[in-house]
Amino acid sequence: MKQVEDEEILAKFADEKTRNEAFNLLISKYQEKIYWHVRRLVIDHDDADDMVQEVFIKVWKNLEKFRNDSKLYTWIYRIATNESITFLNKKKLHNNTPLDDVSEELAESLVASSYFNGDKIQMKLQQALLTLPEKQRLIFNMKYFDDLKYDEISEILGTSVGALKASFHIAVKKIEVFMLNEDISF
Amino acid sequence: MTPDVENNEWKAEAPYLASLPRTNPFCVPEHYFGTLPDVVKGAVYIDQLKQNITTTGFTVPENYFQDLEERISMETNSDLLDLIPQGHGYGVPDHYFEKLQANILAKTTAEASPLKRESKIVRLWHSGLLKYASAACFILVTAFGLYLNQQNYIRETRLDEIASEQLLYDIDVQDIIDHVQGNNIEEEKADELETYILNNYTQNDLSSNL
Repeated sequence: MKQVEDEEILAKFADEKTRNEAFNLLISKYQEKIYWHVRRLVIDHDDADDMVQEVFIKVWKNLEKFRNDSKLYTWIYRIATNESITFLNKKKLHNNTPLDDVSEELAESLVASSYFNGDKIQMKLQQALLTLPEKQRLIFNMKYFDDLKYDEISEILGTSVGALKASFHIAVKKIEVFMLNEDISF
Repeated sequence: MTPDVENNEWKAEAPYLASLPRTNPFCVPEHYFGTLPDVVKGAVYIDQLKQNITTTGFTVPENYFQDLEERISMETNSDLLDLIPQGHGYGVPDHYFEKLQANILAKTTAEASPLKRESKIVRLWHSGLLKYASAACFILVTAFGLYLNQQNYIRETRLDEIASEQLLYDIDVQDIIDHVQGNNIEEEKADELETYILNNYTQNDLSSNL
């Protein structure tokens, strides 16, 4: 099915009569991208499901205020990223645990999840990702899995391209070492 | 910089990672993305309702929230009172309650005894009926006693007579004859004694000695 252009969605959303249609088009276009972006960060499907709903509620509330200063999808990605980070921070506060323990908790939920069908190497890659700091993990996911350009990631995260490159290269090296040195045993 | 150029940079630094297929290991429930738009629209609708309907429709009594704090503090204070140990802080001498019952019983029985003394006194001798009854009883007892006494005397007399008669029957005839003859001898002896006295003693001796 042909993807509707962002401009068309925004134009329809601006009209009261076609607002619901525009929102349906927007959900259909971005739901999967947003879901996978959130899912890779929060790992658990149910948490990701809640996050996706929250993201689109915010999109609905704020789309009227959206200006064409940035691309629509980078704007939605930013909302999704912020919601995910807020969720993880709340989880840290709720459990009163440092980041490493949250990573361990995410790794446990990854192993226990019934919605993970990757092989041992893919499991190991995800566990390697969970050893990274949150920002590095976020950048790696957007570059490696979503195949976004540094400019786009920079626009989403509000971070300079140089800083992104540095963070991404550090993350890549850590993962390479983890994958080559750690035994695969699950 | 194109994505390929960007990717070539890190692929050179991490050849093992670059060799791995970039597949998505996560999955979702069946038809999840088919139903997600409706789920999202439902969530948006509920959120709009929450914003448009600010009141719940429920009301509370007047000044409810103004008094609420005070009532809560009263409840919590009562809970605090429950935490205080149940003892009242006062003490009693050793074995006080063991002796208490005995003391109470002693006092109550002592007070109860005068009540028993105050029971109604019936003065028998002030009753005319009893006087007559007593007199009648005395007469009856006396008469009965005399009667019994009379009966005993008659019976003893009769018994003596029967015994004498029986004795006469039991005595041998010869014994009776001997006895009668013996009595005659005594009379002869008395006559001889009288004669002896008259012969040997004077009238004066007799009167002075007698």
